[in-house]
Amino acid sequence: MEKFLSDDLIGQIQQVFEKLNLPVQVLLFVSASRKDVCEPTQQLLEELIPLSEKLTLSIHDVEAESDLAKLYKVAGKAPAIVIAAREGEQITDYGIRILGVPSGHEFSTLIQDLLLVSSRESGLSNQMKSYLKSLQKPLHLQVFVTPT
Amino acid sequence: MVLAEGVSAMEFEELSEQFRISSVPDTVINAGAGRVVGAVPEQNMLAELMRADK
Repeated sequence: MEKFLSDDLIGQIQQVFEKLNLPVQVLLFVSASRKDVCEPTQQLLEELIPLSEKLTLSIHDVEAESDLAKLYKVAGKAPAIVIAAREGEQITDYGIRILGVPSGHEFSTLIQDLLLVSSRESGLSNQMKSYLKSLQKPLHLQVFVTPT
Repeated sequence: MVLAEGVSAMEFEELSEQFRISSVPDTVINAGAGRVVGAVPEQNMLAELMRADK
């Protein structure tokens, strides 16, 4: 199969990945019913994630692993990419997701998310942080985007 | 407590239609309790989060 990432791009990504600090676990949830969009997402991640030893990829089926999909709130949302922190075997979910194929602008978003989670620092203002800490009920944000 | 999804409108057409997405980025807060169209400063986002939370 033809590769998504050219040697040129791989070189650039590896440079950016030098800034990765702490380990990141990427969980990809796929579905047989959405093969057309899940396959390219999986291929892209299988090329990208091995570029740093700080990154680990696991691939899951939303139907076959429905309990895990529910746990990560991705049921019915394939392809869903969960970008989580990892300490040894311990995975910490920060609630960060990319739904859909991370191409175009969304590829940069994916890279930024990896760096962000790896740094363990949101970069948000103190005011925003204290507001989020005070939340009494779950907050769900859906940021709609397009690749161009 | 916070679930933040970047949703590719192309692959999630039904969801995009449900919220009548016409330009991006468009941030839907708690299934429509709040809404922020466009890329805005963090302060504006916080103001809308607080408004939607009431």
